[in-house]
Amino acid sequence: MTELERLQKAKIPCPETGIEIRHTVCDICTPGPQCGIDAFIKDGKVIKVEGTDGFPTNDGVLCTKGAASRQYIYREDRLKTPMKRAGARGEGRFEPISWEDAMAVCAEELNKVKANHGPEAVTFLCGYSKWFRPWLQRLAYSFGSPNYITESSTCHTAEVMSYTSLFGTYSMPDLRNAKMIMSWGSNGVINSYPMGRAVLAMKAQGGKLVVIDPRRTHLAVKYADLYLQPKIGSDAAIAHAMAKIMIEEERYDKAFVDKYCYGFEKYANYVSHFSLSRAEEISGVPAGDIRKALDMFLETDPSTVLPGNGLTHRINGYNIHRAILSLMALSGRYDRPGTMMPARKTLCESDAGFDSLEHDFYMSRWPQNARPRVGSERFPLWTKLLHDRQGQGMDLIRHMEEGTPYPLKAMVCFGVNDRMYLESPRFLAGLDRMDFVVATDIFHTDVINHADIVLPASTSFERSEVKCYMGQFLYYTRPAISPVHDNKDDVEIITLLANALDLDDDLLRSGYDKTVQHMLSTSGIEDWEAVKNSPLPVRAPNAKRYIPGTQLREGFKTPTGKIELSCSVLEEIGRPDLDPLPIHKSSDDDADPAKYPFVLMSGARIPNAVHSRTHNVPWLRSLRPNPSVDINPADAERLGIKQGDTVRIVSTVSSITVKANISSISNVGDVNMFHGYKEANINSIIPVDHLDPYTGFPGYKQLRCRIEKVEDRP
Amino acid sequence: MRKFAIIGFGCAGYNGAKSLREHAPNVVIDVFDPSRRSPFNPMLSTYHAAGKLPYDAVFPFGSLEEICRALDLNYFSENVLEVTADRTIRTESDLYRNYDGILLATGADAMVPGSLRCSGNRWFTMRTLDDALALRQHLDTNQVRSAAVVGGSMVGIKVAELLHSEGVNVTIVDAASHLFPLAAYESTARFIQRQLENKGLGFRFDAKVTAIDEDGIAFADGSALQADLVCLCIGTRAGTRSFRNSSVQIGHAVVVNSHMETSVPGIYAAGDCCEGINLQTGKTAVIGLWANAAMQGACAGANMAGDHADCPGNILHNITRFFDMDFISLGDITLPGCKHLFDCPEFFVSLVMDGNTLQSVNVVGNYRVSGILKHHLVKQLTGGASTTFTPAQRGLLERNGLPREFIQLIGGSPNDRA
Amino acid sequence: MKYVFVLDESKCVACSACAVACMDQNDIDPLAGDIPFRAAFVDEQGPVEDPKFTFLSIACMHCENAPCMIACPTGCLKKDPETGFTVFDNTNCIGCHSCAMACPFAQPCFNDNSGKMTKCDGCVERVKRGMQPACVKVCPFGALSLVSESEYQELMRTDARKKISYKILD
Repeated sequence: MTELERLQKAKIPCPETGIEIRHTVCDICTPGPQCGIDAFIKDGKVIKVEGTDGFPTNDGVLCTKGAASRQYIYREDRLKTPMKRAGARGEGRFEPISWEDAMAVCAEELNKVKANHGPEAVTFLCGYSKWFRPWLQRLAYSFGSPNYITESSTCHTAEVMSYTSLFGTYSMPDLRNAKMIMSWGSNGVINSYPMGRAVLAMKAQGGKLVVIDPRRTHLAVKYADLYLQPKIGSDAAIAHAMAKIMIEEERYDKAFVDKYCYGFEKYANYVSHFSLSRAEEISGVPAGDIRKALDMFLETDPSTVLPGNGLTHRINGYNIHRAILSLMALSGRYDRPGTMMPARKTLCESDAGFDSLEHDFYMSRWPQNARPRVGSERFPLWTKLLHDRQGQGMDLIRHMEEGTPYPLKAMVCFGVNDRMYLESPRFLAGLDRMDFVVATDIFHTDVINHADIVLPASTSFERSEVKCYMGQFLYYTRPAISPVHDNKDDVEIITLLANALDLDDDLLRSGYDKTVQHMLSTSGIEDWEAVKNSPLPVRAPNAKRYIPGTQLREGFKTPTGKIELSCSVLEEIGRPDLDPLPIHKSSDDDADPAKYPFVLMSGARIPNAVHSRTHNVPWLRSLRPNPSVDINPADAERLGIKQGDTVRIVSTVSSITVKANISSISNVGDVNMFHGYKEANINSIIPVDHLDPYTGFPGYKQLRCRIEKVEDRP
Repeated sequence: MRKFAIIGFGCAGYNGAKSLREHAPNVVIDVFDPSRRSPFNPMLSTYHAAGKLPYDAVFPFGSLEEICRALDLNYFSENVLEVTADRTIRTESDLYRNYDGILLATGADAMVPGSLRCSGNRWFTMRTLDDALALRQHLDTNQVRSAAVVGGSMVGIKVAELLHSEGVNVTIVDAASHLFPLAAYESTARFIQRQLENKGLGFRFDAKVTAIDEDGIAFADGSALQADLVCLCIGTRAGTRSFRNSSVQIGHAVVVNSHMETSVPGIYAAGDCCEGINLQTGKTAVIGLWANAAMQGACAGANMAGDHADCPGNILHNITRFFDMDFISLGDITLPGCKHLFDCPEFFVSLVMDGNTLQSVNVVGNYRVSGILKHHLVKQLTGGASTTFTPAQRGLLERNGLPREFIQLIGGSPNDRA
Repeated sequence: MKYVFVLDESKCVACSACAVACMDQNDIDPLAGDIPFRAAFVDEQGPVEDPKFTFLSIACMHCENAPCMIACPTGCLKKDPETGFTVFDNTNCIGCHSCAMACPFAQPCFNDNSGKMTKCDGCVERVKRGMQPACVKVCPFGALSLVSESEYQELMRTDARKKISYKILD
């Protein structure tokens, strides 16, 4: 090999090889932690990626998924051109169509539905990615429909509701300054490595870690100083027992509670019924361990809980999450470094150190006289608590099927994944009831096959966008490569739609750069080109570090102005099945335990996947090729199941067939399964009404099921 | 200045010279080998004959001139006819020389039993490069429709593959009852045989060959096999003729201890001409392998220079790839024990365990587990039968398709679980 | 300067980012049956009530006396004098698999397309130009590192935490 061949094979960026590095961001997971990427470009193609050194989130490293960005952006199943349906819905036959014609069809069909059934009959549905959300929301509202819905209906919003009902605002544990962390249902090292790194950094500085998780996670087996393994869904009982001790032994922060908390008497009275022995009975966690965990939490200051998102995926999930947060209020651990801190959002759920006009950008177009949005009557807490007025998508299947309180006739889908919906086939059947479906995606997904018009979207590598990062950073990318196919970025598509629909919205119709600069006009940035030219994120002139204690001083944005241990919004709603207190209640469903002896937990992250988006990336799929269910060795032995055997997971509604992965990551009696596989979609076996009545969130993480061994050989 | 002789310049001789030079920069090293060829692996002969490896690529250590220059060797291209106990040698040209140390590294030659009557010019052996060139030339200049390969082991199978790939109708003949009689369990051998039969190869076992001539092969039972070409691949014989009078102890080959020293002080032996220690039996045996020769040579060279190097011995092991199939054999397959088999569509692993001790292994179709299993087998013999797999080894075996139960069976500790 | 690959086991969670980075760097195609030169995995042992987990990332250890190099009949493998890595030029590889049987870590792999063996080269060209090997660069927890011989000795002397390199596995 010549020297040049060696350089080329090693992909060394230098003039001789013609390989150059361009900066972009990874767009595979959720916007908050998205990492800076150095794309190695040769002849206009990405030939390798690396993390960007000095980037605020990742400083040179990448996670498993981000490292596979090259295969992600060049996935075989990328949509290559706009298409219109040529066969029956679901059949998957399409023919190419020009962008102009596609837009004309969309405008005609959507305006027809609007004219015949009202604007509410068109739903604007958003899945991944999330960077274009404010634009899609404004598109919906400018069109006149209140039905802007996102997959956060299953993911993040219940958490937001829990934080908001207690503290009046979304909050986050300050892991960087905490000296002790109680990680509750969170496996940070796998689900978000920057968070994991913060936990490990705390440990490296001598801090203590308690892990409470029904799964024996990486964090639990490797880093926990104390590990509690509760039965699935029993967490509120543990939190209440801790609260009872704090109150009865006068170890709570009385001054803080007196000054800042609402509903303490009711709450104290309620938790007084949770003795340690009762908590042990409910959770299976030894009473001594619960006390030890509490002691570690209280004896270190500052300390914080790190509540996992998955806690809300139980049908009493909202209460479980609130019960845990209540410990922060009770111990006076809020709004000071190393405890729970109020969080601000500048753009797309991320904070760049200043308040933007994002909220105003879409809320200013809110259709005042529209009929109630999807899910708003069924889930009144959702409707009253949330400031951004999304619909609750978990009512969508019912709404599509029943057509009440009004029929839904058209769907505008952006990156929608049917496998996030319970009994997913019913979601696709619902799409087939629509008069018109337009679907935008990067990839040819299931939903695409049910659309009339298909629009190919681009990845972060092919577009220009602004991202915000913790630590008051802001980043404006340039495209690293030209569009891989005849695709456009999502905001470009939204802009085209707004123009084709001839909406009375000049700002939205003006395109990405103008709208984003409008939303971020509060940043103090004047020369946006200079920001675009910066290889690394910059600080906006108006970015300010949050001063701890501000919230305490200014008062909470709850109806009572205080931290609400009893939710005043729920008191006002007054529905008997919605308790203002964070009550403990079984999240078990009513399937017969004799027939369905196992408890299924789905959705906990594996390193190589995020929902369905990377199952078709060969590098990532090769790491765990088969959809597989984690079964405890003791259960496996009892059932005669060996590693790699084929098993069936059966619920009251359906079943899927997967491989067995024998591991004590699952507790005895529990099984755990990652979601989003086409050939083994775990959410297809969860009943469509298995929802938390407070938030409408699906009970992904607690469902009765049965495991059957399937004989492979005939 | 001390003087050393190295007799035979293959892998063992080369590594002996290299090691000796590293340990003793100032000594005289005389190398005796009549071939005038750089060291190479005889196994490459078939690859060269098959046209898969150009001539120059056969020699991994470079040209003879480069080697002699780099290691400062005096090369004598002649045979040594005699080695005596006082470390004196006599060469073809009647050169007599006395040395401070001698390394016997004459390798081995293709075996042609004296009892076998061979006539005509259509029969070949396959060991040296000249063998390869002769076969190649014959194939290129004659129309060969049928061939018999006598000896169904590693060399025979590669020759059969080469002939088969050139459209020759091949029959493998062996005196044993199955292929690879020294390396494969009968079940493994039958499996491989079936695969090869599917590709059109013929087999004749329990067949004692008495004569080879222009028509093919004559057997002891009076029958005959017509063949345009016969290749004799029935093994090798250590090249020990010149040491017969040296009082060096010779069994099947020159017997050495763990320092690679023969029964005569100052005379060492390495490679295919010697019998090192077979770790499994504790007895000496020829383990004719390239890497083994390299290690033995290096050990002998160091000890000749006055160092104290040890070559604790080895196990029988072999990996062969033929007809897109990998066959791996580890350990002495004749050792007793309980047979276990893991079989799946992609590969199988068959092995013999005596209690917790792994005795021997046959693998077909999964080369990736071979190194770990071999390492385990050796470690067991040097570190004790209780040797268990490390987490890394377990993980790698599982990743490469072995089921947990099977991994546990081979190298699990009582506390482990499958 | 000679280098040693070190895995700080206490920091590894077997997330396989290293394996993916390896596939990206070396254009490994799993659909063609190829596997990365580095693999991460979890090993679980011990009683069900109190299991012991080991998280590992394993690639070529670039052994000092590399058994694969000794075993190769055609001299494809050699030690790179600058880095100490076990590098290869498989022009003359005959696919005999001898290197595979010699390796205690199941590292050399056979490429069906080319009919030749291949393995981790330590990203030797990157390292020679002051860059890190792809697997080391990507590691989100800093579990993998490439250190010089002398740094390695110092590390072993001062840090009792479990480290994995060829020195202690051999």
